[in-house]
Amino acid sequence: MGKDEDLTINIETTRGKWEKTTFSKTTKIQEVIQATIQHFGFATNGNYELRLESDPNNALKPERPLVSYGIKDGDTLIFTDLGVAVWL
Amino acid sequence: MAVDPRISVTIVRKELEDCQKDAIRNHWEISSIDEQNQIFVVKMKSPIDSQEYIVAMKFDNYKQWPLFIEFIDPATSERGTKNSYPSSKGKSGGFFHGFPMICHPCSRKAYPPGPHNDWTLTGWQQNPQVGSLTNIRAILLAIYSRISNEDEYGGRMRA
Repeated sequence: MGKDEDLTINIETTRGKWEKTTFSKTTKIQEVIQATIQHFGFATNGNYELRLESDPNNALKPERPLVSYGIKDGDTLIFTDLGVAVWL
Repeated sequence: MAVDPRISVTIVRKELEDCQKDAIRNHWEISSIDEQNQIFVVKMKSPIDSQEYIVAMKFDNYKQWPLFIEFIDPATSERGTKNSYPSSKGKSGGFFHGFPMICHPCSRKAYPPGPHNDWTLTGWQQNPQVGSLTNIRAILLAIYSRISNEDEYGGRMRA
């Protein structure tokens, strides 16, 4: 467990699971996405999203902080690469 | 050189095993593998408008070549019509392209004689635009995420 202002969560990706990683509760979803890109070496020009494992039908808004979704210690987020749109 | 069909089947079977948790979580229905025709089908539903999408994945020569990904109209069973495809909107709007096809290096339909004559099948996993969509799980997650994200999903593509 981290400090009261921190959250320790898991992030699942197609490149593996980032277990027990800690962020401030006020970290924005976009910042968690960026950290995940760096941790697993995903392409920096990609298009990604996060969802709660417990609510897989709703993508988390990039501009909102973790705490605004009621995320708790031990929760798992699903990280997905939407694929770069390739224009002809 | 063609890939031994038994090798492609083995790879596909392993990659589909990796999808099982996602299939349960997202209510995907994955068919058995048709080894003779080297194809399997995945049904998934948009939670936004309850439209059902049927994704057929032909895996001959996989993974030397990418999958030939095609959509099937759930009402008529027609393959590859615009009505069978979802549509895109938002910042990454070209993924479900009006050709119709998935316009991405993971999709063989986009390669010649399709519109992307700047791409080659061999070495598709090294295409700088492929990102992480180099396996079945990542591709299905990308498709499902797009039809369940209100900022990206534009409803069923209409002819």
